[in-house]
Amino acid sequence: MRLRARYWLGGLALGGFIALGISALESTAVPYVSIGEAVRSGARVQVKGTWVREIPPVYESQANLFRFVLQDEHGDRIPVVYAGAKPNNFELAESIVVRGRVIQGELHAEHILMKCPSKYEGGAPLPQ
Amino acid sequence: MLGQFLVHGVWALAVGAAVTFALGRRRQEFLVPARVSFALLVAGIGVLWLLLLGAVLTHDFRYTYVWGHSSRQLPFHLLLSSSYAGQEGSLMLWVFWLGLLGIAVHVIARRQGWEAEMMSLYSAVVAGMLLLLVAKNPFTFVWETYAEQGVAEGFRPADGRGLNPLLHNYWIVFHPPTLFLGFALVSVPFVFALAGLWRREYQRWIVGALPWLGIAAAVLGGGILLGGLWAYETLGWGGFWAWDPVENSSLVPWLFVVAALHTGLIQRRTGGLVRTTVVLVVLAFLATLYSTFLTRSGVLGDTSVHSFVDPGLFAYVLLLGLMVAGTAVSVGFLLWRWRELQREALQLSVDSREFLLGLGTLGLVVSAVVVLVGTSYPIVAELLGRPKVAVEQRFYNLLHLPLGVWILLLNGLSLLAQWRATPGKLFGKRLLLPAAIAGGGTGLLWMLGIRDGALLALAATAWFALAVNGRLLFGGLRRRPAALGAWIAHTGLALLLVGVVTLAALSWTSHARLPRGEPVQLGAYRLTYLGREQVEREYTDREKWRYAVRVEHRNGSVTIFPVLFWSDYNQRQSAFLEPGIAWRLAADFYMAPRAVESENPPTELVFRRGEEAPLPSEPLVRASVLRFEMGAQHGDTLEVAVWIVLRQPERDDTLRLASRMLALDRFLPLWQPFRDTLELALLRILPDRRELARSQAVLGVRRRGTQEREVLTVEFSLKPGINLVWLGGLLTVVGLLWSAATRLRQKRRIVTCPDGKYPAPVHEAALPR
Repeated sequence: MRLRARYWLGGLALGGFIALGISALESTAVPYVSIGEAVRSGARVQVKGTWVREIPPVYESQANLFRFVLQDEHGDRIPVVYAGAKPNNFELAESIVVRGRVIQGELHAEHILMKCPSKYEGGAPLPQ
Repeated sequence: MLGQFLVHGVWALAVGAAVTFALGRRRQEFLVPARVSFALLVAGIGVLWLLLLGAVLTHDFRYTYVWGHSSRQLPFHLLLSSSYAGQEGSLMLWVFWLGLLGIAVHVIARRQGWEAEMMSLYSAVVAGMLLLLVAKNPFTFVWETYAEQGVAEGFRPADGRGLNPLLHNYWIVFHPPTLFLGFALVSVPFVFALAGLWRREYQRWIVGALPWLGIAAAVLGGGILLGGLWAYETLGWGGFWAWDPVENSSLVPWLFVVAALHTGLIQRRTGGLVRTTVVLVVLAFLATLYSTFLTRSGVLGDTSVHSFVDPGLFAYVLLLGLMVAGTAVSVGFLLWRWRELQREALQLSVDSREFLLGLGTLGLVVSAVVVLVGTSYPIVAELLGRPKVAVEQRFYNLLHLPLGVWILLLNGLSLLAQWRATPGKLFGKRLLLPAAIAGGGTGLLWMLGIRDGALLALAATAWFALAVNGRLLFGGLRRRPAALGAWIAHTGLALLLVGVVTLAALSWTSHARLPRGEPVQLGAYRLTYLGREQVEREYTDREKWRYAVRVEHRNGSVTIFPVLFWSDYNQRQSAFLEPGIAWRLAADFYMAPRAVESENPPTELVFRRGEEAPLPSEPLVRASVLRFEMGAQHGDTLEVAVWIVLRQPERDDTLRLASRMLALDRFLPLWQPFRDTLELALLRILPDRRELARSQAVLGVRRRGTQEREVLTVEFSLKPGINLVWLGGLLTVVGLLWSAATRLRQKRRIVTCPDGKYPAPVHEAALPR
């Protein structure tokens, strides 16, 4: 194979892969938004917040649904439905990131991320 | 005080060693103080580690770190592990490994005759890591951390905060130390590379560095594999890899190390690709720094399951500074020698092994870049002022399908080719059998029901690589046992990917509610929840239950034990879940517990003596407690009873409700009929320790004929191919170690190739000619 042809081929392959990479990046990147924005757009988003402790989370084993209420930093609240059980460390979570989309006022989660043991490091009081 | 002081002292020693070794390059007399300070540095690190270990083992909760990560209840192995479970401790572990490795590095540096350069650079690396330890000092006292609370100096909390229950298993004993040893090992080839640049010995460095690249790849890979096992076996993530930022940031250095290992081989054989190899080794080291930054600075806080703690501004700036400094030094060295690095470009012919190997390595590098970009994307987007985003797992999977195909294909092809050039006929002859096996193997997966084209393509190349390497392995077994490492590792990688494809395409998951004692059919499986048993009763800080579920399948039955437990760590608010697994050759049964509930629970009424309340569903009947009765012994159990009065419009009834006390908090109620519709029982007594007469009785009311039942909800899955993943991973690690060991034993010779005639590959004999 001639040298020039080789470079062309290599460039083409690399260019193709980069294009694939960029399109994959665009299609799989999910933005972090507030609850208000999530409700407005109805798109797949990630919402960061805390779960509201006055309203106890419920796991419906029949339907395999886990429900709780999420509150974001602006104080907005939204009920969250997740197809699965209450995740490990849920109570310990100081904040939660929910990925999903809002359908009829409910955030349908496909993934819940617990931000756990920020815990005692700094901030947490020392019991005496 | 000693610990804090020593951290600073040891850091000063590291800086001193770095400087004096550098000066010792020109003037011999500096080497003596340099060696002394390095020896003291290693000893100091050892003492630091022992101090921390001692503080953890003796429960010295005056130290904030010890208080925050351990407790008196922890058994010995977890106590040991808590010494590196937190940020400060894990940095300490890393530094400890660097210190220990330093002894070996000193020996090889002297043997190589590169003592001044290598030790100066190595000491600088140690100094950098120690600087982090200065910022995140594990020997800080609680009264310093909580100064604003006015904690008295010398205060020693009675007990520690303990260790997250999710970490309470044997994996924490093996996974983090292996991973951190891997990180520490990456600095050795880095030091070799920069020392080579420094000394202008551009060919000799790779001879020394190659075995270390192999060891680093093996240990880091082993650490990653152990992490996967942990996730699968205990954490119940269901899989072994989740493309989580923390996982990714250990994968990126590994990919660079493996890439450097391969271009290093080309360099050793041909004398070419020097720049590429140096750059890859540098990138591998910088990737460990970057990964430290990502996982400890808190920048990725919202995107990972691993816990990140904001380390504070000082540590953040320090981490960033270290990364920038490391990059600047490396780039400086590279620019300094860049022009000299490769005077003669390597003539790569398309049909040569070095060309195909180079292309395959390019696949590894692109994979590393993909993972790096995906992981850093949230930061990049924020820096660009775009809204905060994070990529999904799909991003990595999507791009790694073509990359996997590319890497495996070239892995097979490059081994079929000869160095310099391969005659077309020979190539065709060698290609025949592996291609046939690839076709057959893919056909098999097709028959098993895999229809996804991309997965089939990946499987086909995996079979191809497997066939090529398996054949070399088989043929070379008797002839050259020393050269087996590479083929073992490649066979492992191919097996791993066959496993991944099988798992991705054929695993099956279903959700089931299992009432106790009642078989539930789930596809081809019959699940029965048999009962539960409390385990680890010697610990008072937890209540751990093992649930027995029988799974009947075509060829027999097996019982699986998922675990649910409550821990003081979260005030027993909700259960921690651990999956139960039946390890089976073809496909594991994997059962992740979801919840335990009570079906038809009785309505509960709580009374003190003299209090009165209406019965649920019979509001005209009002119940009250007349008196308690601590009754007779029944075998091992005590019978307790309560006399109640049921006031009804027509008449009053007095009823004695009894219950067997199995333990202080466990009762076996004896149900009594009341009218035709209801049953009543004493469920338990809530004793008032100060005034027994004020104890409370908990009555149960239920409809006649209903039975309370426990229902266990689980997610049951079949995991075919998972054992290929473990086996493949293990073989990869073993192969890497094997080849590193044989390389260490080999006589160190400098390979140059003035005329481009390099020695024949050792395993040619195993292939058809």
